[in-house]
Amino acid sequence: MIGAVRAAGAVALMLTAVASVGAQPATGAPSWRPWRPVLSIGAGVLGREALGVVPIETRAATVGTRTPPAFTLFRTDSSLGAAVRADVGLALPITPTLGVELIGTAGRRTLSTAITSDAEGAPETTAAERVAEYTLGGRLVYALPAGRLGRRLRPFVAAGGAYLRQLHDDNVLVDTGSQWGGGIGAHVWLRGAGGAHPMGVTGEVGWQWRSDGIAFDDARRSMPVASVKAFVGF
Amino acid sequence: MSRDLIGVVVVAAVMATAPLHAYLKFGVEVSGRTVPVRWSAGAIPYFVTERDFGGISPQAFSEAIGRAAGTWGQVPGLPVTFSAQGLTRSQPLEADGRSTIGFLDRPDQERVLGATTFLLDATTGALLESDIYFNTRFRWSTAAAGEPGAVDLESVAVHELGHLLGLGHSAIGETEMTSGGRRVTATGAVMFPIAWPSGSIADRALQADDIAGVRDLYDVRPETEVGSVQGRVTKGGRGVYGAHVVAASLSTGAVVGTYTLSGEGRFVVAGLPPGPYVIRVEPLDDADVESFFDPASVDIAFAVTYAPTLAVVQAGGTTASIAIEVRPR
Repeated sequence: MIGAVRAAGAVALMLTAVASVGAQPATGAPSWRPWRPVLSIGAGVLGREALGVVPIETRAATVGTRTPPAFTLFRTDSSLGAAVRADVGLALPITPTLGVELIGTAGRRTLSTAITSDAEGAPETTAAERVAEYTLGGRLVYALPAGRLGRRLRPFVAAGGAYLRQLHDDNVLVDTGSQWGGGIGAHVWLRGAGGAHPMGVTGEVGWQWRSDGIAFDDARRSMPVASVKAFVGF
Repeated sequence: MSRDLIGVVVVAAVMATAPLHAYLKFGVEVSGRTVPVRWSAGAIPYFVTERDFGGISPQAFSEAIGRAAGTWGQVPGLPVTFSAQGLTRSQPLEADGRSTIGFLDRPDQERVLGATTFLLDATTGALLESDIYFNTRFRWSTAAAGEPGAVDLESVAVHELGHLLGLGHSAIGETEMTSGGRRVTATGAVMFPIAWPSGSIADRALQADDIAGVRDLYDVRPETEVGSVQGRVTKGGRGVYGAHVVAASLSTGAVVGTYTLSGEGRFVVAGLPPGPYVIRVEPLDDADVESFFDPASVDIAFAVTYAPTLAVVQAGGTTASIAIEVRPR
């Protein structure tokens, strides 16, 4: 359930560790230089997020009971729509294959509520508002063996969590929560593969799960995500 | 010093009519300004009559009234409490300075289960007395589980005590027309003007609309924990008077209502916990309009309409005005 204004929630923590034991870059494959930070900036696409079905009910007329059955005035089915968001990351390789990354995102989404089953036959309609959404968290990124993918491309898996902050219309109300997720993608080095000052592009797809934040039932929500970012190493 | 007194009679539970959502507060004109009818903080003393009726002893009657008073007493933060003062030989409607609750023979009011009256100081608007009567035209019951064919006294007492506190009628309810008249099918407030079928005891418990109404009336948590939705209902660009506006919480499903009470069609739904709300507007067509207020200029010739935007309530704040254009029907 959506709460009132929530106090600052727990900052995301990375829990899903990816073992790096025995991982060695393939011969000639690009890799990160340990302890040299990598900045990435780009855009992501967030899928639709179902927020729950809430029947708006009153008491149905009955005889001799303190707990009469419900009479549905109308039903609501709410969701946050798919949206594009800005993604910024600051990664710090620990080894040539394993790194930690601080991730921040910002975007605006539409909170839509479909209204159906009106007791007096009103036509179905939708009410909406705009929601600004921000996340700040971290994750582990593990570079997979490149195999035959070439000298400039390196696949990876990543997993982590984030603090979620959602601001309703005109920032009048704040909901906070947490977000967890994982993904798979690939870094493509355009310059400096394995060397100093690398530059390139990262593509990634994944799945995210959320708890708290804007929600109208107790179910954990999930949605697909995808992003494309440019990166530059220092 | 003599006092000019105003008697305001409130018809409460009517046997047979119904719709969906809201609360009204009573007000009186004092020296050109409208003063809300409400009690000063503290105890509201009341007496119950010695009269027994239909097998209900004064003690059983008094206990039922006490339970109903206790129901309102559970509203958090309410600055007033009911205080039973014992039995009296006075009768309801006697202007004796005592708030008296009891049975009364009103054969002329064939559809009225009970009513609440007020005696006010016309110079200050101060409440001096408020009486409640239960019409002996009906068969009453104080049975714990209700009694088929008998009206539950405690349920109607909760409704009437809501009036005594200063609440008007809510329109949160639905009715249907039957051969015997209008019948309630659902309610979202104890303060709905039409009683449930005989035997029902569901109205012994308050609903969100009742609680929001009385908390708003007595300024409970006005700035810190609740907020309000404001807006304007129009038809063809002109304000709609008497439209019933309901705010339904997406977080809790709770329903709280109000009315447009100006020619411009403006409304405010107060006492709402923070969160997003769906706003629904409907005509007052589930009960007699006069159950709520002067029907002279009430417009009921429009279709149920929802606001195109969600109303986001913040604690201690009021939303930007929400415009709702209804369609004629």
